[in-house]
Amino acid sequence: MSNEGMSERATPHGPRAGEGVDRTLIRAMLDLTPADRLQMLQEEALFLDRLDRAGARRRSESSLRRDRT
Amino acid sequence: MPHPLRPAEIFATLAEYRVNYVVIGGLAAVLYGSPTITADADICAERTPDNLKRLASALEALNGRIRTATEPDGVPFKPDATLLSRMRVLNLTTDFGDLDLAFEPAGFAGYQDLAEHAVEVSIGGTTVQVAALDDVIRSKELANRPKDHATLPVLYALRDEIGERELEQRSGRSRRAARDE
Repeated sequence: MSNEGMSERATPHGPRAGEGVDRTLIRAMLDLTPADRLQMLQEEALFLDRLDRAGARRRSESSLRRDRT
Repeated sequence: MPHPLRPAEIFATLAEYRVNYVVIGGLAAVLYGSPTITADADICAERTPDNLKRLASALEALNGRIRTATEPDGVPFKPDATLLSRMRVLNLTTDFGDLDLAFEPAGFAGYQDLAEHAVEVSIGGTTVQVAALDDVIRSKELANRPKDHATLPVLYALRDEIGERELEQRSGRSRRAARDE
């Protein structure tokens, strides 16, 4: 990939040092141990899974209702 | 519906079967402190015949099934070392969530290349090799997928923040040493 025309501090994906990114969450994550970070990810994955399942249930209920009418 | 991701269980099973691998991708980024969310565990396993045999047994224990866009619950398959030796990428779903095997991640020849700079991390009593953050970033830059474009600025900021903390720690240490002299 050519870097022509880009400054030393830039990449095709944004500033090399990530300027402009809100670091609040990064700093909070850095205060945790890797095991705690994984635990947090696992809890988020569980939450998203519950959301997915609830969405799937709602979709199947509404399609059942449509079939009955 | 696929199982939610439980990486610690995946790591424990891989350790039980003594599989040599490096954690890569989004999960490696999370282990370094990235606040991004990843739905799967990405690993790069060593491609030696013995390791592939151990990996095949571990995949069987994890109930690994081939994951495709049309079959998110996975298609059953019988993992064996010969089959795995022919693969470059294998997307699986397991009893502990989705597991992606990349034997040659973008920018790297394979396990040895990544293991050279990998960092050991302890997760619930299991030691896991995690690809260096610079290598995770390099691979994402080269993979150049839309999801990487979204993550890379965060990873640049994370790398910068880690660097700043290391500098602070070092200068704190030298101040303490100067005071104690």
